Amino acid sequence: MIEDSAALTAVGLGKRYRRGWALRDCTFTLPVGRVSALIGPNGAGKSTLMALATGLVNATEGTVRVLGKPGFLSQGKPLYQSFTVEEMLHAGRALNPDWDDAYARRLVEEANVPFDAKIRTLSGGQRTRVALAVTLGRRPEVVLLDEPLADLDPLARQEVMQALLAEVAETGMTVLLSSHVIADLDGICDHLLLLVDGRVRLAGDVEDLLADHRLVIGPRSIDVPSHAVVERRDTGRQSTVLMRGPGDVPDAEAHEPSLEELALAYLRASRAAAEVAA
Amino acid sequence: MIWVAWRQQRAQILVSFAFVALIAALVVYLRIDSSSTTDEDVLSERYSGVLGYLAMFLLLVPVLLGMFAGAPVFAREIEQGTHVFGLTQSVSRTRWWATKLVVAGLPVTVAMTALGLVNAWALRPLNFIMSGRLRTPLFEGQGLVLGAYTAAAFAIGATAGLLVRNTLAAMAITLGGYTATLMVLSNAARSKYAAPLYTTEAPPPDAWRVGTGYLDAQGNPASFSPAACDQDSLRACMLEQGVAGQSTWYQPDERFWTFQAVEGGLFLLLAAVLIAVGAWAVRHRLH
Repeated sequence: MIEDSAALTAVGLGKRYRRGWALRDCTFTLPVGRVSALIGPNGAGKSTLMALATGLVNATEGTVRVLGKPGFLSQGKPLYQSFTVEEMLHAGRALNPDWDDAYARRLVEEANVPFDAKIRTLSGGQRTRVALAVTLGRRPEVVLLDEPLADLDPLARQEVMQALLAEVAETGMTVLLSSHVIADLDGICDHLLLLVDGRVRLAGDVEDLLADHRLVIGPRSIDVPSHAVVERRDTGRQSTVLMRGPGDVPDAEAHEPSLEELALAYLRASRAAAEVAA
Repeated sequence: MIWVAWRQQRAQILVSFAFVALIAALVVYLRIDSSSTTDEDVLSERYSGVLGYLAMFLLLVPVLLGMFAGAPVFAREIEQGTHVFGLTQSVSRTRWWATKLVVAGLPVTVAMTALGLVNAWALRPLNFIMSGRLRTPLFEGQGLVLGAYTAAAFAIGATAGLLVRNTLAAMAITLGGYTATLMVLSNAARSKYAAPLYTTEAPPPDAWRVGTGYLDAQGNPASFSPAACDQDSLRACMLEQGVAGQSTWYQPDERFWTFQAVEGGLFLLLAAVLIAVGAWAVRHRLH
């Protein structure tokens, strides 16, 4: 385990646009060679965080540093619509002296996308695969993918993720992948960064985080120490509590939460806290 | 980067070239067709219609190029998000911006400058029909200014696109900004590019009269009030008020190229300022 060398380090990172802070006081690291999930509701600051990390926008406060060559696929997977796939690869070659053309071509061939097809005629899945080939063609060491699965059908999502994971395994690159569909990331990501309202709400190794939490289900009378409660929902005669840390609750069933259960509980708790504050 | 910019803009560039070439062919045809006679009455009768349309049309060409070639250069990319692709590759953002600007803007500016020179030659025998080439709209349709107008209109469109991030809005700003600039310069500034000449006789026929006055019998400036005249002849009325002659301030036709250079320079200056604003915007405003 290489814990002391981070692929991406943010310290006190913040970005203010005219309408207010999009990101505030973010301090975290991403481990090298791992797939990290960036989870948060719409408007949480996921895209802003990625734009800051790639240098597309400048930070208002704090710093963010990427170790190694970055690669970025922005939301909507922008490609020149009137170009053919071949021309898109040509563009990648023209814009990057370190372009690995054979590698980019192989990625397109593996996706079974014809080279002479115009970008605008491609299906969502094909477009994503071409965009991925163009992003990976310059052999980045840290890849930031902003909602790459957003407009894909379930089968295409699976294919894209498989292709991506195969490249991660082969090249050992670090990936930060954002999504608001948490189910897509379960079983794929081994590191989690949960963003709510521009702040880091939860960060860490997925296995450690899951092991550190308990989902407790029992009668409404169950008594959970309040300092350990992340979120409590009372429905009818039953209570569901996500709690952090060890500890047994009498008369209740407890099990390790799934990534989705964990993330949703934190997101709901943040929203409830915001509503109380407002 | 040059290849990428060319591949992105080539449709607009080729259409613009075809458009300019078509106008040039028309104008050359006009010159050849009109060379059969030097009789001014015949020329005037035969060509005044087509010359009027042509001059009005030429007035529009630079702003059309600014709207359709300049405004989308950055605005369309920003709308489609592809500028993020360009800005996250190995080329610097300044180089990305400058290459796109030059590849899209230089060819149309050069083509329009060439068209201006062709027009200056081709319209030579016909300028008299619309009281000389120093006056609107013939001044705007030939010589050095066509290229400078195009550069300015293109720069307005490109920089507006960077700032407002919307093609349609950038096109509207190009239309409004360019038209306002041209109107202000042609109405308020152009006649002052050089001190006008003064004469108490009739000025040359192709001169641009920029001011007139009345003289008394001693040759001093006199005032004349047409409102005080009765129904009798104007001439008698002038004499009655002590007006014996007229004076004229005018710009002679020989100053055409000087005026072209001054106005072209002013528009190039405008283009340079807008390009500087664009250089700032691409570094500090674009994301």
